[in-house]
Amino acid sequence: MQHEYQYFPITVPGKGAGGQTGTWRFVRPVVNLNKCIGCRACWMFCPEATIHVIDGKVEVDYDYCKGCGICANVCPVKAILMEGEDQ
Amino acid sequence: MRKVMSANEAVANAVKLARVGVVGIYPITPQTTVIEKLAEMKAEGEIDADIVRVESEHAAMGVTLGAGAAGVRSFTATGSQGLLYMHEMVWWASGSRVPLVMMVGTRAVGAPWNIWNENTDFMSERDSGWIMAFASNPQEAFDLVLQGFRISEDERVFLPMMVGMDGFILTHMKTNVYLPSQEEVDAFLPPRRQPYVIDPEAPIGMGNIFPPVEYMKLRHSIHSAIQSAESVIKEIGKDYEKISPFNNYRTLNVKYRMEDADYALVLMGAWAGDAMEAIDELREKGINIGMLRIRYLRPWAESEIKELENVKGILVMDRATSLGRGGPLYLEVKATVRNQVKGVVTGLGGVLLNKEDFKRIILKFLKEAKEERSDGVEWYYPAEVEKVELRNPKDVE
Amino acid sequence: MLNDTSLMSGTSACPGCPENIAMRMLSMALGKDVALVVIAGCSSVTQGLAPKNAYGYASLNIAFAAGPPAASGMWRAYKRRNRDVTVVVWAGDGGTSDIGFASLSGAAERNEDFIYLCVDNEAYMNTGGHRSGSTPHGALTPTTPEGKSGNKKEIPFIMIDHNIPYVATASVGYPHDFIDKVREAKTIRGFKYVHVLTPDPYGWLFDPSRTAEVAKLAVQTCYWPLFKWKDGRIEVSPESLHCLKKETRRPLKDFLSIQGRFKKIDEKGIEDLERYIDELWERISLNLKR
Repeated sequence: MQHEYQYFPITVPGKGAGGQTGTWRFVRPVVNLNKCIGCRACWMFCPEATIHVIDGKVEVDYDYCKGCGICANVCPVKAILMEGEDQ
Repeated sequence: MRKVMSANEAVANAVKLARVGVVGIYPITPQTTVIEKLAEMKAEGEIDADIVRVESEHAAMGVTLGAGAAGVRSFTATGSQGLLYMHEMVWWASGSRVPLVMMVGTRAVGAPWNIWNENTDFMSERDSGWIMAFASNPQEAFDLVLQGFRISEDERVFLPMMVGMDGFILTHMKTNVYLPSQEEVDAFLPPRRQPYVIDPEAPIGMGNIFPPVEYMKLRHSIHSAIQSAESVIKEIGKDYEKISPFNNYRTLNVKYRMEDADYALVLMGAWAGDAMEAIDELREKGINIGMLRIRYLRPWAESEIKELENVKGILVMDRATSLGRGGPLYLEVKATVRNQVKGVVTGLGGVLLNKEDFKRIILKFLKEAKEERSDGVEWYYPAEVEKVELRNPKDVE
Repeated sequence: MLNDTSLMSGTSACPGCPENIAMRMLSMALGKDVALVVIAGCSSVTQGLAPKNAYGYASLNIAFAAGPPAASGMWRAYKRRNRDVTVVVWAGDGGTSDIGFASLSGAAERNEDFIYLCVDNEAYMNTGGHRSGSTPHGALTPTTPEGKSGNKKEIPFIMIDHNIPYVATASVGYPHDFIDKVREAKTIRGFKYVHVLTPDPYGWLFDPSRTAEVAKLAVQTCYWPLFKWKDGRIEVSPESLHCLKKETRRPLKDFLSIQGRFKKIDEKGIEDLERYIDELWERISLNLKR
């Protein structure tokens, strides 16, 4: 039996709970796949879970990446560069 | 089974019969004998509940709420400073919509220290979104706590419920209490139901940020659930007759000699007994007064209170204050009926009233009512207090 | 592949958030079958807005001091329902060292069976970076604009003094050490306390791209020790072994100069901090596992 006035403070896990956070970004990580060795350091430290390693290579989910630059900083082979969004 | 026991012991027995799984306990006078009894039952193997001896009342509600949210029936008890210290969690519990039951042994709040009875602690939680009942005798303390689990876990309600009782006067008063058998209680109280369970099986979140309109809707939902609880309480009260000889739970509040009453006294709690004796004696002198004992502060059974509009005058006695404004019960009644209402604030900090005090209060009210000036709030001190003088230390020889 | 489903992209956290990093590492350590109790703090907000939640775990948000009690009720409820669930309290340094300390201490004394995880960004970051009991000496915050006077409260040692089965420190700069410690905590019955340093770009005033770097520097300069306490002894993690000797420590200035919050600290202040670090390591040495 459902009661239309009953509404509970519960939420479900989902992407974008803070919005389309890719719009916050003013610099974007660009991965040089020729340099990438698939070590996953960027994946490990990404605070937004927007780095995906597919077939040993890195992809960035630009819908949500906030452009903090941690991935570029931790990359041991400098395969990720931060570029201005206007470029 | 009938057995002589205090209200606190009756509460512990209700918790046992409800098969409560987790109890968060932190002692405070006058609630202590409830948790002592539960600890004793655990030690004797009479119950298998987890008794969690926490470090504060704030934590007692934390444990009770945590266990409830994770799917287990839970209970706690407190009063006075303890309830005030718990206040933040009282709101968190109702906001979470987790069914649970709490007993409140009422007591004055500081400063200064005072360990005696007063209902201001209980009344100060009236806006917090709980179902709030107040017992008048040990039997009712038992019945309301037991019914409380079913009311709280009803899908039309899904709110925590607190059952208040006057400190010492009721918590420690012993009378005969009728206890139904475990089989009867099992038939009356179905297995726990709740709106959601925090469990990795279905990983939901409870209580992250809700934006303004959604937050307001959640509050609206609690408001509606409290109002809907009125019919649920009556339905459960009627069903309770299957396991109990008591049939006075078909209404939320309790009337005494109101059929032909010209005047009404409104109050809640254990002093209803003294009031009834005073009413009986006044009736012998031809004074037609009756009593409405408030048993549920939330939901506030508006239709039951509105019946008071048929009398010539209403007197509300509060053992609590909304300082600077009168008694909370007085304010509630005044907001419900069109009649003139007189409020009396008395019995604070353990001040005791006897039958003669009730008669004095009522007679004075009747005189004022006849002169149509029975409005406003009076602070009443018992007859033996000769002179009311508010003094500072420098005035004391 | 390690499980990182505890955090869903698109949170409300600031870019470069170290707590989000720690949250992802939590599921790398524990996998599924976890219930979180999230007390008030940044994490209350960074989960995002209803109807969604950025945490992939079943989670109960709750007021500051109620985390350990709620977890006490929850693990008992799961046990009663025969559910094998690891309960984790997720708390900031304010909720741990200050407003929530009594309830943390109470649950530890009762040896409740859950993991208490303190994510320490060394200030009340959610309100705007105000000083907490965990803020270090000399740090500028909006409530200590002249620099905080007095050292960081040493919560890991205070928890050791509760004689609980497991206490560990970690840094988001060293993921494997952190993940190993949380995994080890899961295997132990009773109260487990894990304290992870989470450098905050906006409170500590460094570029958000350097979160992991600063978290490493804190360890390399021996400002933040990595150890675990078990069976009555401290075991220093390999990343921190060089700190046992003063001569092999990296200069503290390498950690301080990268952050804006220490920009007003003078030579005396730096000496005070260095003395604090010396004493910290003396204390660790006295309790070493031999």
